[in-house]
Amino acid sequence: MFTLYVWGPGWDLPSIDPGCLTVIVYFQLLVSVEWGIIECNNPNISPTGELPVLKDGVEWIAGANNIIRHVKRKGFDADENLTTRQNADSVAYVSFVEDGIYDSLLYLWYADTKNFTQAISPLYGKLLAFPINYYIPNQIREIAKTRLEKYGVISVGDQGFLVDKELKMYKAIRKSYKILLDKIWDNEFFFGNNLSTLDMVVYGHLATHLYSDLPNPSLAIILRTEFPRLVMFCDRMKGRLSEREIVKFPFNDLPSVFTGILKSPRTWFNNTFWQIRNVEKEAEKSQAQKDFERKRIISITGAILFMVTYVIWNKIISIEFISEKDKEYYDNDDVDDDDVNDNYDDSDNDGDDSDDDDGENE
Amino acid sequence: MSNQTWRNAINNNPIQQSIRQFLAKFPLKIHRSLYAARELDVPRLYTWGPGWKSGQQTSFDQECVKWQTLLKFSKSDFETKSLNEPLMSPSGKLPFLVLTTGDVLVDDAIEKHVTDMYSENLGSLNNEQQEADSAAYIASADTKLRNALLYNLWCEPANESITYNKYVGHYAKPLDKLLFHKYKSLAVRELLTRKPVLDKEEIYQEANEALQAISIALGDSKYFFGSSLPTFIDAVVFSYIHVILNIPLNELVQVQSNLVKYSERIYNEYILSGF
Amino acid sequence: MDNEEFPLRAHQNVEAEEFMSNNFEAQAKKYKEYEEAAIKLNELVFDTKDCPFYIHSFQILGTQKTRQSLFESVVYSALQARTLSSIIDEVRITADKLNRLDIFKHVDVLLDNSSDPLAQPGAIDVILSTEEKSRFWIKTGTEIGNDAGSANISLNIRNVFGGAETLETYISAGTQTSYFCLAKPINGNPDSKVDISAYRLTKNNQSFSSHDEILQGIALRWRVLSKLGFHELTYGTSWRQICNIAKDATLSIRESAGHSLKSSVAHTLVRDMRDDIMLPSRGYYIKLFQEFAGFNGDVYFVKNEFESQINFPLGKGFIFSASLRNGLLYPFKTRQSQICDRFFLGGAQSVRGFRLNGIGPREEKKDSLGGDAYIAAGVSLFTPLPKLSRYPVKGHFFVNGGNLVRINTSQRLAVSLNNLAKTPSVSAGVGVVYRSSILRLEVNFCLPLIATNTDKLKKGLQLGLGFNFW
Repeated sequence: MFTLYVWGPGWDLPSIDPGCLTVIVYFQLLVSVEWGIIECNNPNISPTGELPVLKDGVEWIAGANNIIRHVKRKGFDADENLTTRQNADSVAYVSFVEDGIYDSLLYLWYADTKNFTQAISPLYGKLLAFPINYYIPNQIREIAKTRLEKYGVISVGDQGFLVDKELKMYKAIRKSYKILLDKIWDNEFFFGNNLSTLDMVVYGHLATHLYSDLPNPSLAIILRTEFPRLVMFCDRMKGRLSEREIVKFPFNDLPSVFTGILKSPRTWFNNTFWQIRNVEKEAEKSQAQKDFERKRIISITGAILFMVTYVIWNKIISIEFISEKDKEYYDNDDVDDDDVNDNYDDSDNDGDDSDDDDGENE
Repeated sequence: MSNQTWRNAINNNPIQQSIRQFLAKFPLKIHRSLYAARELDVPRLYTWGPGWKSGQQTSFDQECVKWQTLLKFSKSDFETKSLNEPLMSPSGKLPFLVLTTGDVLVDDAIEKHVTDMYSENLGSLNNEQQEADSAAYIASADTKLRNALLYNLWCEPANESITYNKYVGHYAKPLDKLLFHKYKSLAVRELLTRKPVLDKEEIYQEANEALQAISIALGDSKYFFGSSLPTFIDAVVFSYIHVILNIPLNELVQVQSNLVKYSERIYNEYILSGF
Repeated sequence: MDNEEFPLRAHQNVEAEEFMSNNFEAQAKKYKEYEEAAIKLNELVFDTKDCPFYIHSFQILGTQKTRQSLFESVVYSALQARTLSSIIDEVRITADKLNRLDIFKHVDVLLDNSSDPLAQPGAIDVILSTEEKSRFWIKTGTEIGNDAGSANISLNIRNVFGGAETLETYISAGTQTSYFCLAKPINGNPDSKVDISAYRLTKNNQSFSSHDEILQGIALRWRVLSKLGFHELTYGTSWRQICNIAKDATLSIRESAGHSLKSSVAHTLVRDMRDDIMLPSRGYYIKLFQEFAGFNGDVYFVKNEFESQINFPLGKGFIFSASLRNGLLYPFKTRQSQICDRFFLGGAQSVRGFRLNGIGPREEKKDSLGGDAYIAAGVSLFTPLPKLSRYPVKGHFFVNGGNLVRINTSQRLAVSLNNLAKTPSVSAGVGVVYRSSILRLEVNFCLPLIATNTDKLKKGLQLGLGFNFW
């Protein structure tokens, strides 16, 4: 019995993550034994920290490619009928999809500030428990930053927002789509008339470009207007998949303290409505501006607080609480100190003064 | 008066003109500088060097070999200088190409320069399907083979000393240790963008799969996809095979014999032939 | 007191002087009694100055954190005194030293007959009452700009371990600058300090040389005041990175990018006898600097620099000033010097009439490469301005020039130095100088007279703002 742990659903897709979607599709179309998915949204259960993860008996296999390799060995091989050359092409094109096509998704989700702040960040906020819902998107964003460097996408400002300074990214995205288009050409599948792993990998990635509902759906627009054959391919795949049911197992075997919060309906409710209300009002101010202002207010408040604390500590302005009894005590003490000081002052004019006395005594 | 004529009137004011004439007389005497400007006769490629084995004309760094080979394919005139300092490059990584005009090119700009100026010596692919295949196989080399290369050079403790000697041996102590850690963390950072966890077996297994696929794609032909002259994918694949054959990774992955012969042939035909 | 008033007096008119002397006469009567008493006291002390006395005990009141060993070293010489006059002198010197260690707010001295019944005749007790200064001093700042901000904090601690050590730290987040220095006076002598410091700072040289320089290092330093002047001996190691080469930088600058490690010993001697650093009217200034690099690291050179300035007041507010500077950097074991060690010449505070670092070796009129040997000289005449003598403003006529050359180690040194005389760059001009309390501002109209074709000239108005001008 296979259990697939995956990222949760979104936008009418069984999972928002391309790797998870690929293995779900593979299982839907090829695996005939009992299997089910768990929408666990917690990458920490995986031995590598990445989802999807397959649990087969006592074995844990992480990563889409490893899962497919494992399942192929168990007898569910989508590439049985491919020629040697086609198998080699499959290896090459899968690498290409995980490289260039995935970079396009990273750009759409993490470099486009509107998409990131209005859709992706809240999406992770909804799916993940505190505190990893802050940690995960930023971690992926760091990876996105490094991967997108080669396209000229650079980090700007102290919030690190990614900007495509030379507009190379969209050229590269179109080039990647064209390569897939040239490969499939007029065929129903990438390698002729039969389904293969590459089809499922391509669908897994392109579905997230095409069917996601984002404020700035630039990839979906490019695909629909310029690469209709790829859209038709995705629609065909989606049609086949809608006939195959997905069994979902309940999510109950993770002893995380924070899963309770995650499942709370009120938080989910607040998140959705709060976000809708604010989208229109704050459309003008970009995230960078808001964060900058927040930082500014924090630093000014911090500086004032520090100054006030310092002033009070050093008794420049002192706040004292004196009871009646203590007051009398303090008054007496003051008198004594004055007497002592007077004694010192008289003899303190000059060293010479006292020497004078000594000299005379001698 | 209109704005323009008013401005002209001010500028052509006789007092203004005489001041300007007076100022133009200064400096009273001008010497010629003792230092002549340095100009390049031919474009110069700054790379890591020298090669892994003594007498090798290629760099020890895979990216440098790739661009060096592409320039050799194009039969363009250029010279190579190995100062081993990536801070000189606008991208912070070697190689970079300085043209006689003074422009500095890195990465894709070098490819564009070569295909614009010297396309007659390079091969071309027959149709769009082959170009798509070319891009896909280049992607598999740049991900799977590069992962294995980076892991083998920077993350295998046994190979630390050879990598250290090549990349940072020329710095004074203790800078060499500091810079070694810096380059190593850059390599690991790059690996982590493609793999969540660095699993040695998985990395080498995927490299084997990629090598097998590339070997099948090449088959018996002289250059990839039946082209009569080398193209960009030949430079890419040659750079990986050539470097892999010269480092300990050679014993951990299986390089098919047709790739070995291909690599040797390209080295003898293009790299060694001096022009 | 005379020195404090002097610079002001140079700019004040005669009326102010009269006012000052009138004020003094009014107060003279008040202090007449004190004067008479003081004269009598002085006579008595003078008569008894050679009587044998010794210091029986030294009491220091009001210190909690300062270590005893510090006091022991400070009072040591006073304890050797054997006559009244020497005791008085030594105690005064001791109090002055303690003041200059900068850990006390005030030091009051009291000499008294010894109260110890077992003391020998001629015993004196000395009591110093002090009040310690506050230990911590923190300053924070934030800079908020349109698209970036940075924060800095500096923390100073006085009397860290009780021996008058000072700790200075400064960190600035936005500019990635930090500085840390722990100083200790040797044997309680505030004029002789040893310190250890670590620093990191970034220099932006993009405007004249198309690169940035990051410096990090540690240094051990001894600063001491001697009869010759102020000495500073430093042994340090510094890691320099030349990076962020601009896109249009010349090839030589691009090829100088990289890392270098300098391990060197340097000595500086400064003798400053001027009356004012910013706009001196009399006195001279000499600075000698030598550095030898090559212990570890990969930078080997011998460096020498000499700076001098002399000023004469010509009466009625006119001042004549002349300066001469030269420097020599000789690399050995390597073919050429590093750009971060070379000299640069030109600019409003260096040689007027030329842009910042505009003189010297250059390729294609763009980036300044710096040089290994230079010579620069200038003469200036400061004039009082009519109706403005109340303010610290002066008119300024100047002629200055210099030359900066590279040294070719394959040739004889004399040949390279000969080049210094071959292509000088000279300019002249007039302007106005304003000395505010923290800065000197110069506005000059400059005309370059002789220049090299690659020099960056500044014909016409040039503005200078700073502390040190030549």
